[in-house]
Amino acid sequence: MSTLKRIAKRSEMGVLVPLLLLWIITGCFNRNFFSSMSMFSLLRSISVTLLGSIGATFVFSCGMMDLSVGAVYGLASMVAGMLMVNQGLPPFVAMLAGFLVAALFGLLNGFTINTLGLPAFISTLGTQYIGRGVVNVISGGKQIAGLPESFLALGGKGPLGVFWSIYIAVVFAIIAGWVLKYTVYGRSLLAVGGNEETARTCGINVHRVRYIAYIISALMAALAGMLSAARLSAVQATSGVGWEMVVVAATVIGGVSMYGGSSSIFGAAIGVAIVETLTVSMTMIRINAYWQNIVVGIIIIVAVAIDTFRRKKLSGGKG
Amino acid sequence: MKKVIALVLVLILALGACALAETTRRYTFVCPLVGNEYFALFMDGVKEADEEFGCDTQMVGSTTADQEEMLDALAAAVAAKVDGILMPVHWPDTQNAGLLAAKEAGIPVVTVDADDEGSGRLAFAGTNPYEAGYKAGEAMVEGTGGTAKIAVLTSGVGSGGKLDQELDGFNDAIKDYDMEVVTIEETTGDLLKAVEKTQALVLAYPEVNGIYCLTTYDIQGAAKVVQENGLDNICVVGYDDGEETLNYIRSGAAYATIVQDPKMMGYIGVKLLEQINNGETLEETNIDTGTITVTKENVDSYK
Repeated sequence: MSTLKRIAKRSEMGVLVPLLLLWIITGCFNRNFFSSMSMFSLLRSISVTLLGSIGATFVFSCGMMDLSVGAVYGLASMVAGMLMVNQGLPPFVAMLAGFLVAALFGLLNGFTINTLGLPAFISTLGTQYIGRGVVNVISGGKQIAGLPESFLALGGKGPLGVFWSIYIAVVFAIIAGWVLKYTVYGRSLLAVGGNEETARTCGINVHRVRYIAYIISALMAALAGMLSAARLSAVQATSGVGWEMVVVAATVIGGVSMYGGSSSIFGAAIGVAIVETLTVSMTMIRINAYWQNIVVGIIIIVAVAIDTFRRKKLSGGKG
Repeated sequence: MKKVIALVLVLILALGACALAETTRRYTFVCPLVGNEYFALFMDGVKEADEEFGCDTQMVGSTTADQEEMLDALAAAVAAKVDGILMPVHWPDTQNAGLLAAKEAGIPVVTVDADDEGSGRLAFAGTNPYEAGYKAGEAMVEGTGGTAKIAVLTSGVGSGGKLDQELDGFNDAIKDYDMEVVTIEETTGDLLKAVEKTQALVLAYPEVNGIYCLTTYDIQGAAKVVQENGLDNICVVGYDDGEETLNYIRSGAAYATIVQDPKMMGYIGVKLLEQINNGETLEETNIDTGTITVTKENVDSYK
């Protein structure tokens, strides 16, 4: 009983309830929702967004924000795609170049925030524009198609008929959860997010902590972008537009605080699952496209409200 | 550090001023989807015309078909007193006032891709959207044998204008058959969203055997799902001829694509502005750049 109680008191349970409700309701309207085709396709969508959400959890944990992830998602996949298709480079090398460009954006974000002292919200908005602009300049707005088969395999199924992106996201989620909870870096991250001055007094290199968080965020976005390109067999110049808001919303719905000091990869994963399920279930429940946005908005508010009330209750109404 | 930044800014401004001082005619193209392949092809035609006529056309606008962003870009072009404006009129109700303001300021306007006569434009170059929709409907009739439950994918529901006219044409072409549209889904013109929506709709509407795709990437998204899941009974019809789209036509995952000629629209748009500014009388003010239905039969020979 006590184990059950402990599980029930875990903070992530608050968002798990709306997710399960959403699944049950969608399944009641349309049993096909629980078919393997539907579930695998949903898990595949979740896995790509989860990578972004893992990055966002690192950045949020140290009290920062990264609005450039959508642009980095697009830019890294465009760079890798162009190098494969136009230059004929092997996928491994092209992807490495994509990650390198992403890491540079992570560094740039860290530089504008650490060295120039700009607010994260506005400086990552700036780098978002730069990233989008670079994509348009190098691609001329044109789609990159004809990606090599060995790269496209990454978008397909791996062992046991499970998509590669799902394996990859699970591995990274486990590593990220471990880093956040059990390593010195993870604790430094939370310390910086909790109180920057105290962290500094304790001898934590605040700048270094933030640089690493932004680089992780950018690398995760790049990986998501490339997996998505492999799934779609193409890279469009507009890919990843608005993705940062999906990532931020999913992570916050999952209970990760935007003000730092707390983190939960499991919570973020549930948040991502809610957001991705919404896209699918609106069609499954056969809600008219004109009404879909209204319903999505209401569900997001209800999901976060349930979580907030639950936390208040657990803390004895002190909120 | 600050001095260096200030110096760079001054240099940029000076270079900009030099560019402005030149006497070449400057045109502005207000684009609803910057970064979309369709308009990249459009710009190819614009560049060709720029080189031929010695003018300079700048593309501005929105990356997400945001109407307000487009109107702001239009207002900025009017304020900058450019020598001419190219703009598609997808949403006449919101766009016409801005375009009429350009006309009042003495700036010639040529509409491209999508037209509305209430915009005060002097000429139009583009596809007749009703005709393009009708052709898509005919292809759907052919591909399904005249019996179909159809799902529609569109970049935005209720956006009106060109997409509505295409849908009207489509509906007229299928009305005499045992065919009906059972759902309309929104993809925001994004390939990934198109895949996700198609995946969900084939499960939610198992009776669907036709998907009509209104925006460039929708056909690729629908065809991708059809191919991945071996849904051979579904007939996918859409627009434009991106390389990936043509591959889906070749493989049979998509049945037909109605190909427009955005490059020609861009070229003719600039040419019309040049003719207007040179004081020439336009022989034709409504130029249909035409469409062609591409299926497996002519996919390698239509160009």
